[in-house]
Amino acid sequence: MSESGELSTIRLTINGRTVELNVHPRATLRDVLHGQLDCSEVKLACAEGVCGACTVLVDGTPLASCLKLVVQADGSEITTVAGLSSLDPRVASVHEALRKQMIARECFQCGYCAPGLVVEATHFLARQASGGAPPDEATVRKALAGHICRCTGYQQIIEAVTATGAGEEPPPAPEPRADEQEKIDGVCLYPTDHVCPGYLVGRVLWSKHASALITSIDISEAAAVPGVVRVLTFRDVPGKNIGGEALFASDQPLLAESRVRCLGDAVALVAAETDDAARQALERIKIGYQVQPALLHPLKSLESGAPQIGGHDNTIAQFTQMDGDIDQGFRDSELFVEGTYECGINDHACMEREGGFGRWDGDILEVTVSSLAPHAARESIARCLNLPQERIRMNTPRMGGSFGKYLMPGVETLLALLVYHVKQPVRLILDREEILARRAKRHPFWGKYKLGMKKDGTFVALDADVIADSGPYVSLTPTIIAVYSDEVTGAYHFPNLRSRARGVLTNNLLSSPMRGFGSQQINFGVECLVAKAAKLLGMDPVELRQKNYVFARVDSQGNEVPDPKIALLQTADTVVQRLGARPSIPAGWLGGRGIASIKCKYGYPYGMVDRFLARVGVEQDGRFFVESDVPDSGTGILAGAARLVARNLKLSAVPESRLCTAIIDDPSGYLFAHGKSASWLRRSLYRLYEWLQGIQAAKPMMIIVHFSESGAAWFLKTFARPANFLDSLINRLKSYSFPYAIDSFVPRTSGSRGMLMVGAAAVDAANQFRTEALKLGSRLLGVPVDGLECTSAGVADVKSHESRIPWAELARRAGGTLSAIGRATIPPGNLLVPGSGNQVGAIDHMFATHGVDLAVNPETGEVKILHYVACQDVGNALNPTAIRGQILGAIAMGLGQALMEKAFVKDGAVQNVSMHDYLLPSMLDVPVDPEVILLESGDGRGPAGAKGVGEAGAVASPVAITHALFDALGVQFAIPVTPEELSQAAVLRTAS
Amino acid sequence: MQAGSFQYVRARTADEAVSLIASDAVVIAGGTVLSPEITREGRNGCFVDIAKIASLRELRVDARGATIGTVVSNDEISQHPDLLRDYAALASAAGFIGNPHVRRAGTIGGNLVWALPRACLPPALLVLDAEVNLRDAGGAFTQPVSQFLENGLPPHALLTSVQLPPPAGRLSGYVKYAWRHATAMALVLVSVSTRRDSGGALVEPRVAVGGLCGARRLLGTEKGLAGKKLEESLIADVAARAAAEPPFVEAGTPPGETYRRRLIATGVRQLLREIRSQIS
Repeated sequence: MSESGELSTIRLTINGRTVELNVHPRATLRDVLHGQLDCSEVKLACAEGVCGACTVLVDGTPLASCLKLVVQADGSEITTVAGLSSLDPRVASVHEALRKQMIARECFQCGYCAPGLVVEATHFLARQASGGAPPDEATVRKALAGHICRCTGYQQIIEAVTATGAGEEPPPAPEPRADEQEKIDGVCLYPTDHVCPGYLVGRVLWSKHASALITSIDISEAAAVPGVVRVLTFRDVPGKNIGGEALFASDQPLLAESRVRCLGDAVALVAAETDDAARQALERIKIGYQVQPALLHPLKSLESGAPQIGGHDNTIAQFTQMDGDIDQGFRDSELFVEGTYECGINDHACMEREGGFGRWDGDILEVTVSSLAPHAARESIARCLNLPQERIRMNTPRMGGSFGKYLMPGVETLLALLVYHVKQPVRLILDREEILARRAKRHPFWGKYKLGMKKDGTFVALDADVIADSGPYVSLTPTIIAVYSDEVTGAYHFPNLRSRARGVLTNNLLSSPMRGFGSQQINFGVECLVAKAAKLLGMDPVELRQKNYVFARVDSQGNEVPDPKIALLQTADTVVQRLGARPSIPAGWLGGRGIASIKCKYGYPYGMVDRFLARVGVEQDGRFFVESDVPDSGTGILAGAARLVARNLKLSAVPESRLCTAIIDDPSGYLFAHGKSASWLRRSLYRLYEWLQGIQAAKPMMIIVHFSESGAAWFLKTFARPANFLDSLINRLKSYSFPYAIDSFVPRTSGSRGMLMVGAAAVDAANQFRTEALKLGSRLLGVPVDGLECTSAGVADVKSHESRIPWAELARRAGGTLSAIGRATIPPGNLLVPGSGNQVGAIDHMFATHGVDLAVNPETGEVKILHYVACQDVGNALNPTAIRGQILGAIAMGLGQALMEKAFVKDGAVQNVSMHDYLLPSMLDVPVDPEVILLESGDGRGPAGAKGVGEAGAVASPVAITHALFDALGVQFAIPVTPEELSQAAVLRTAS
Repeated sequence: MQAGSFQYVRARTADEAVSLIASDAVVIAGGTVLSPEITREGRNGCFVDIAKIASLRELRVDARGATIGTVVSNDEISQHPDLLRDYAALASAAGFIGNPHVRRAGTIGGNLVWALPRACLPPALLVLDAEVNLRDAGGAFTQPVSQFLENGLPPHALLTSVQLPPPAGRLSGYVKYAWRHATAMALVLVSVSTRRDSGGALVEPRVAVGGLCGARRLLGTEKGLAGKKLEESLIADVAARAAAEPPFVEAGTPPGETYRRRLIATGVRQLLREIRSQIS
């Protein structure tokens, strides 16, 4: 018998080791395994039995350890993924076979779900009767349905499990990726895995209203709760009370002072010895609110007389694009199509919960969190804590999913503020409910369109008015508006165009980039319009598309490029051919086919800069490595770069990929290049450049917003030239002063640009390395450089291969390591087209077509995906397995966003805040056997002509599905659509 | 026991559990409902764990029907060959619960005792004329499952097992409507069962639903089926009648009433057709 307050003594056998330990009787088995027994492989994503990330064997049965009280497990044998290989020989051999399959098939991306899933899959396979029929895919899906994965779309996991069951050999694969192995074995630490003895629990008090004035704050009762160490409010912010993303505006307080503008505003923080105490303290903080009317739709915010949310106009970003003559275009048109399209909010739903661990290391404050923008995060911490940046260390090696979430500073500044005050280690991890109810969501989209065309379907003119709901702060919305502007025409050409894109403040939750960085919403709008046009014309939708595909690409100055190799036609042809005849539809169901083509940027727009670094080297043991600074969000960027280096240098083994913290610690590149810290003067100069760059980056969207629409056009036209000149001057000066600098004010990867940039830097580093190696070889062998070559073994004489120096020897002679730094940047160009003031746009785009056949049950609204085909031009398929995985994952996410992930919002508050009812697709919901076809135009801007990959799939899939529903039911739905809405539409259709 | 405290006791026998329940202990077994309340919401009390009591784990199907011990897992029920054959609605309902690991943790007793509005098993148990065996300090007693669902667990009682009468030719079916194929909250649950006389007319038909209100039998709909032959025209009428019969309890969450009633009609129609195809 055990009582609260006291610890219970229990005995557990963990992976064969029996331990007696004292536990808090209210703790779950998972928390004890993770927190007290160092089983960091037992993850936690939902804490309610939905996701399976915490699955372990309890006396041989796979169970969600988050649902079990630890005292209930007293006396049990627990096996985690780490113990599978030491269980009985049958389990061990199944586990080993499964591992090999999973590694060869690169099944996982962020890998956070892997340890739990591997436990369940191994148990499932080991239980199959030997000699019986091997399990088919459908059986595997059912058996593993309790595991949610956000990255992969499951297909490759299912294939690996099925192949293991059938006793197949793993497919031939390139050198196994080290990160895949670590993830499958559960040995990598994610930010929320970090703990230490005696840490304090941090918790956040969030706003109670979408809009309210704060009249009083009383923390006295909360501070008196036993176990509470500190309660913090805005008064405890030693520096500037500016949190969130401050690239464009410093409008988001870290902790609310006099008002709250959405339910995601943090009002107070608590640090306590136990989670119980912290929760009790939150309940006892007394905040006086005076509720204000809330603006919950951007159109409401735009009404004249609407309250100003940020103390200025509610339109916080605006960009117009003009091509040709819109009025003449409409006069020349014979048919018109109009439409208004909307996308709602989605959560990134990263499997790892948001949060991390912070501590003082001497006089350095270290935070371990998920971030793709560690420099911006550090700046935010420095600003709020009034600490020099040098005293803050960002530990951001990897994250359990990002999808754009971690481009903006997150909870790290709140965590740092707690650590700063309590002088002890603090762990701050948000509950799933907090993440769903409080944290930033994908920008809701509203777009109103008018299309003019000829009777034969030739598009003549497009007028578009598109709006992103920014939530109550400016955040990164201006960049979303830039993307909306650049991609407003989607995959199509309109000779006459007028578009206005606006970012508007509301009292909804803050908006954040998510998978596609605006491309998904903007392609959705125009694609829906095109689908409607095809219906009006009674024309085959693919024929209409092919007639109007964009055929031109612009160069860095905004001029058309000859022979642009835009593969849209081929993608559409391929999809149509692979879809074949329409499949048979279950009796009573309504069938529909949807085909969507998209154009989606990768890489930055011209006129921006984007510098990346990599180092390639060889150590004294002859082993190669590749270093760069991009944290691992699951896309395998560093591992991909290492493979490029292996190919470039013709190495027999793929180099080890390492995350380089020197670039994170010092973005001026001085530490990275010279191995020592930059002087104060250098650091200051670097910051001056960054400040000027930051102003430049913010310029077009933020300045013109204060002009009227025509004034904005005038401004852009007039100042395009000087603005372009200033941009290029600052960039050149910076490159000259800091040859190894990066641009720290932008995230380290976003918008499918990671592989483009890091890959290019790694290839450059490999080339530099070759030069260095040949120079050194030449000195040592006394042979001229052009008489030498690099081989997998070392530097060798071209003629007589006898004369050679192995890599290990070269490394020794170079003083221990022979290495070289490589750089990559995007080509210089203009941000704005002089004359028109339009954006020049992204340096390149991805092109893809997705096609889907589906069936809708008119009574239930259930949707069955019958056949899914995706075709994308990837430029050069450097790693087809990983690319396929990215696209399959994107399809699954897009399906969720179209059909399942509806957030029910009432008065600015999301109502479904658990993973039970915020519905991420399960293994039983995603398409079965989706076909992914990769085209290789060789026309990409990345290494060897590769293009970006990751986001195009998520841009195309929701709209392809929406079109298929339109075909089946005759209605163009706002997404996400619910089965209830589908069923209602089917009833109306049948009735008419 | 002090107020505001937490105690955990693992009972070795049913007797021990009953005596603790007599002094207000709350039963815990699979923990899928209670453990989040205890760990996250700080629920207090004395909790008696009955998961390891052998006598409560028995699952027996014989001439007297089926006896399912209170801590038999939903996973076991969903895969048990005898239950799949004779009590299809129950096995099917158990298989619709959560996901594999939740089914392995959760028990039949838990699903009944907590009787959450969207619990999967109650409609199936209603159409199978289940009884629940209970014990308290005064001894063992039995209740029809309908009474149990209406009044809840009697004070200081332990649910020891669920009793199903012999099937005697009763065919049954079950369907759950949800917006995800795994780990999904039920929107509407429908279960149907019936026997036939030698002429093919329906005898003692049962129709039960969940998800619109609490789980309940639709007596009016059953009356519409009794004594009739299962023909398509009857099925359509009965489905419409079933959709209209139960009261609607506003839960404040989507979906709306019209859609839920449509799902009831769809479910009744589907299950009756399945039964008809088994007959012919």
